[in-house]
Amino acid sequence: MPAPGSRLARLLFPLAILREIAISTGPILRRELLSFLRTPKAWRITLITVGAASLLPLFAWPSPGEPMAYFRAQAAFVTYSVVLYIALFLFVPLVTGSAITIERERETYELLYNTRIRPAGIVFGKLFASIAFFLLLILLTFPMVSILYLLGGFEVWDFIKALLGYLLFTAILGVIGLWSSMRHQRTSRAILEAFGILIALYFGLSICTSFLMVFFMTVWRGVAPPNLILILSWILTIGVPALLVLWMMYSLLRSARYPELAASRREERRKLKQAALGTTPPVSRTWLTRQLLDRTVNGIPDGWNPVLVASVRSQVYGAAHSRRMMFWGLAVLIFIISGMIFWFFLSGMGVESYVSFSIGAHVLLYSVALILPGLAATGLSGEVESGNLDFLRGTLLAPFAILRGKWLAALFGISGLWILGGLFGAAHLPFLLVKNLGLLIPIYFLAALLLVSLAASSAGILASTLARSTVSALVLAYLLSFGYLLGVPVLLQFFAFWARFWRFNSAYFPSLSPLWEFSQIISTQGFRATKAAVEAHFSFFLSLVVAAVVSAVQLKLAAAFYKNRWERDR
Amino acid sequence: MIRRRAMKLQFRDGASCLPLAALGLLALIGCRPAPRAGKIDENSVYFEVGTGGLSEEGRWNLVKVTARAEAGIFEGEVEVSGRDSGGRPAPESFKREFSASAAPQAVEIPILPRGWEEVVVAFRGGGFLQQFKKQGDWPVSNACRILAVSDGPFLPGALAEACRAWLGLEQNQQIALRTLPPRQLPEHFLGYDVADLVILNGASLADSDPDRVEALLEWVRRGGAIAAVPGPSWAGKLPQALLQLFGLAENPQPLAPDPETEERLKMVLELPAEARLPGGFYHLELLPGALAHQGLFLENRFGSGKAFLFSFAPERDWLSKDPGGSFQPGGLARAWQRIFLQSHLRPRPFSGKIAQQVESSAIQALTRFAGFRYPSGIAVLFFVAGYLGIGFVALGWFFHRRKRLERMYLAALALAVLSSFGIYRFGLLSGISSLRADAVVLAVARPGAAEAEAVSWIAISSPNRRTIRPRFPEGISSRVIASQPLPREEAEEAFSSQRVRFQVGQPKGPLQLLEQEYAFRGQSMQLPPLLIHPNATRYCRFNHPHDLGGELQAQWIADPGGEKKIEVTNGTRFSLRLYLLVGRELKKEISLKAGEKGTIAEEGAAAARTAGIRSGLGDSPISMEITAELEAAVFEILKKSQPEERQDLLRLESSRFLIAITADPLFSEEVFGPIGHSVGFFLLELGEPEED
Repeated sequence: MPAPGSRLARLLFPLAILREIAISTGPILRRELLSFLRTPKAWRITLITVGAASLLPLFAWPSPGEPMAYFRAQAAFVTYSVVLYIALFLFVPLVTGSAITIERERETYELLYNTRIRPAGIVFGKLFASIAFFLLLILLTFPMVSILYLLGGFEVWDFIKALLGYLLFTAILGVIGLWSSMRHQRTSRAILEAFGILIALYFGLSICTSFLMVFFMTVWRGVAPPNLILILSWILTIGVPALLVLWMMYSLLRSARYPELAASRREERRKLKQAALGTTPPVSRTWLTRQLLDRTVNGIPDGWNPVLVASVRSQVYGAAHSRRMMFWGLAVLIFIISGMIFWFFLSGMGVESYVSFSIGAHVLLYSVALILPGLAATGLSGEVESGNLDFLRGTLLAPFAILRGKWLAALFGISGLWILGGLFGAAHLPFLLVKNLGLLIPIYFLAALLLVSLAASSAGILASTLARSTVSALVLAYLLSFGYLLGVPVLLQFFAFWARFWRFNSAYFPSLSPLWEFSQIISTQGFRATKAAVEAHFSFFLSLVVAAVVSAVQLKLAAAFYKNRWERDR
Repeated sequence: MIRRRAMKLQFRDGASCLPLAALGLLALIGCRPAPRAGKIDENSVYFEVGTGGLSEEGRWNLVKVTARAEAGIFEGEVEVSGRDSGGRPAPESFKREFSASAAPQAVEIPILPRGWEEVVVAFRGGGFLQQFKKQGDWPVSNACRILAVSDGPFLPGALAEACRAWLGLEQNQQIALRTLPPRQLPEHFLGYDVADLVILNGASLADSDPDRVEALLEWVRRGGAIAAVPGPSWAGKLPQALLQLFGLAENPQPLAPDPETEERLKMVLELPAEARLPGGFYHLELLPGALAHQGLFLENRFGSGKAFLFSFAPERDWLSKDPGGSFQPGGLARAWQRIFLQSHLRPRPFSGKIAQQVESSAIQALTRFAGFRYPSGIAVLFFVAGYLGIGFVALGWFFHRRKRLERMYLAALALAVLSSFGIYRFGLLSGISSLRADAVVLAVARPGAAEAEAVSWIAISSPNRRTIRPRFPEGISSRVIASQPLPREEAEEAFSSQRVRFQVGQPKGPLQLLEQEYAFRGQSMQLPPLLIHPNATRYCRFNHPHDLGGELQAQWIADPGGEKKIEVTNGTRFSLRLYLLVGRELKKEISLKAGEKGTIAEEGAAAARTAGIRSGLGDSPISMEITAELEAAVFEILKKSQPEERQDLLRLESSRFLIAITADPLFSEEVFGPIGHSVGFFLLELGEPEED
């Protein structure tokens, strides 16, 4: 080793730092990744994932002599990519978003922080441990995709680019999730923030890029140099996320070194108590929560669900600020989108006014679908992990009352988005009436919003009754929720399209999900008075009924599982 | 402990001697400071596209690049490539070695632009990459392109009238005429490809670079048409190459000076009476095969091309054995008409339009030949089951027993990498069992020629990833011009009503084209190595002279009974089935084995075939596989070549064609590998009718 203080030592200093970080990362990786890989659960997840991926080439495989087989290969590859991206989008923030908050909730982060592991080692260790299993799954499923190479339609570079894209996407999501996790004490808040950032990042940037292109094609056509649009779209789609991730990495390392939050939960409780006993009401209290909580100042009235009241109270004193941020963030985003589109519309640029409604409605629907399963799942499993369930068990509350309270609390948590949806629909009503599109569309939107909320929240509740830990509950909640809302209709359509033995009309597969069906009815303008419109109305109602049934079944199952667990643990 | 300390000390000492150690290392690996490489002076770069300003997309064009080095010597290459309207690079690039010093250097590179909105010239060398761009300014497609090699302006006169009369053009419409000084002749014969007709307007090329003259001859040999109008510079001795081109030979016997002739010559050459005539007198004779029309207009076949020469003799008698007349205004117009028609009607398969007409049908036929071969679904099922079974179940059980389940992931990862690599490199599960090449060849053969000018579409199928290096027999390889089928072009409505053209790019999958990198070294260019992907069929196109195995002759003869017949002599390589095209109908068919002779009578032929030539391959196993579109496309070319619609202009039976079809292998195995299916279409130009 070079002598301390020598020139060579100074030159090699960054390398030495990296070496120490690598050494620090080792124990965390060993503890978290290796211990997970040794479990049969990891083996089962791997086998199921690779097995599911192997269905793609099997279903897409052409009959001998089929001339356009590469179309099948490309469709299968696109399906694989879409499913993979959705899965990564959902699960990576969940796992990384809970990586540090779980330590805090278990009160082990203080211990970890006081070991000889470098703070940067904790960050990188947690990051690698969280995303390594995803990377492993991507690599292990890749031979199933590489078989498609034999059907043509690809260059090797296409696969390599796709693989690099998956890995980069995973890493970006991992950093965003971990950053949120580092900033919060509670898993639910960290996940909420992570998804909020992702929604803003992906929806916002893609909408900005689209607007930019429209501007270039219309207003600035012939004025701006042709390459400018390319450069600006690169800056927006690559540069902004890259800069954000770099800043987050810096912030993560800084937060790990100089923590702003208390390492233990005790400090957090003390702050909560102080806030509750304070003379001034919390600044984040809203009109709706005031309506609820003002009646419970002198005790919870008879017939009210105490779990719901306690959860709302907890939300008000805890995550209300985040929720207000989310509400206003989405409101501003939708306002900007609507404003831009109306400006295009009034300028006669060939953009229909209902496009604004379509984009805004989709943003709201997908935001609800993205946030609610996590909220519902962490609501109950968080109580289990923190040991509050034993306290609840000692009360006179029935198991289903606890479950119902948590479920309603989760729905109450996104009530701001419902209000936003109502205002949004009402604001667009005149424009929809002017274009003779009728009242049905806002009503359909609100109905879809309600049913999506019910399905997503009931999936979260069901997952929390099945899983033992918060992370498992989160993963399962999103698996159930998006499996129903997006995954099953997409996969059924794919298999029905390629599998010759399928005899059902695949046109009705979107009817399984109100999320899909709303997109279909908006894109085909099924509200117009045509024969197809009647079918569109029927499909939409069918999707609402299916969603209601699925929600009811999920809640019933959750109640049954929870009761069993209650009885068993008693 | 002592050893460790010693190492530490040694390391410390080494750190102080780091620069010395680095120098030692450099000396050890033979590195030394490289001489400063010259960079191209950006202000000196100049490039222009086209030969004498004549350019067209879809044909070979010439790019002349001039540049000098900023300082030192630039050693490297210059690459010309293109970008489409979307800024995407075109699949072809054209390269040539380039070295420059402080003095400007020029280099010519033939290019084949397709959908190029922008031409990019890049200099690579000395660790530099410098790019220069220019908007591709391609003119609209011209129906007639004429390149005049002349020191002064060329006035088309009767030629322009002939063009308009044939093409039905309005005044000054769609005839591109450009002039090129004799000292700027292209280096490569592809430099002339953009022209339909080259005219030597008074230029004898006596002072031109022999290599450049040879390039011009090579172009004619490959099917080009050239006409010469003699001028004062033709008074001296003509270069031997030009004599051969126009079918002339110098009589070794010198001609005695004749005062009367001298006087006439001075009058023709507009020289004063007291001036001396330059050079001496010599006697030229027509070579066998050359024709003298009306005594003052020569026509000669040169390879697959044709050369025309207006007489430069002052009197008709001076052209040996010619009983004809002299130039009259009407005769001059008729001569230009013939020149234009011969240049226009002659199907040159490698010209863009002809290839395009046949291309889609040829690729469709090749696709049928090659088939769509994929591994069976059962094989894939077994692969999936094997991967899951070995990689996860068996290894999982094994490592679980050893309480090291995490190692299963490493093993499965290795299996995943190996199987992916096996699929990519070795064609694991490939549905194609062996290397095979299928071919569609379209060729034009001149009467008596031993080589036909051909364009070939080749589909190469391979079970695994490999690189094919085509090896042609000696003498042909340097004359092969690699090419590739055209990418599709589509038009799409943009946001406004303005139509935007964009290229779809290379199709993938079974219709995989090859990325081609053309590297020119001197005059020749060989086929580049062809990368074939596993279980894929890739397509390429190239132009080449095709060996017929001896003369393939089809000529009108008159039998003693007075009936006109066509006598066909086949070469020794393949058996042919021949059809006679009269007007727009196929008339008569015969079969000829290799080396056989046969005759076709014009009258009393079998029932006319108008529906095509679908039975052309007779009992061949591939006859059913050839698409009707391919045959129809070839037939269409023939029909367009028939001058019957313009009897008033032609009245020449010699412009009729025979079509010959063969299913025999047209390439030996050493060229691309084992040949699967092969079909060749030969357009045989009939010989001149015998004089009555």
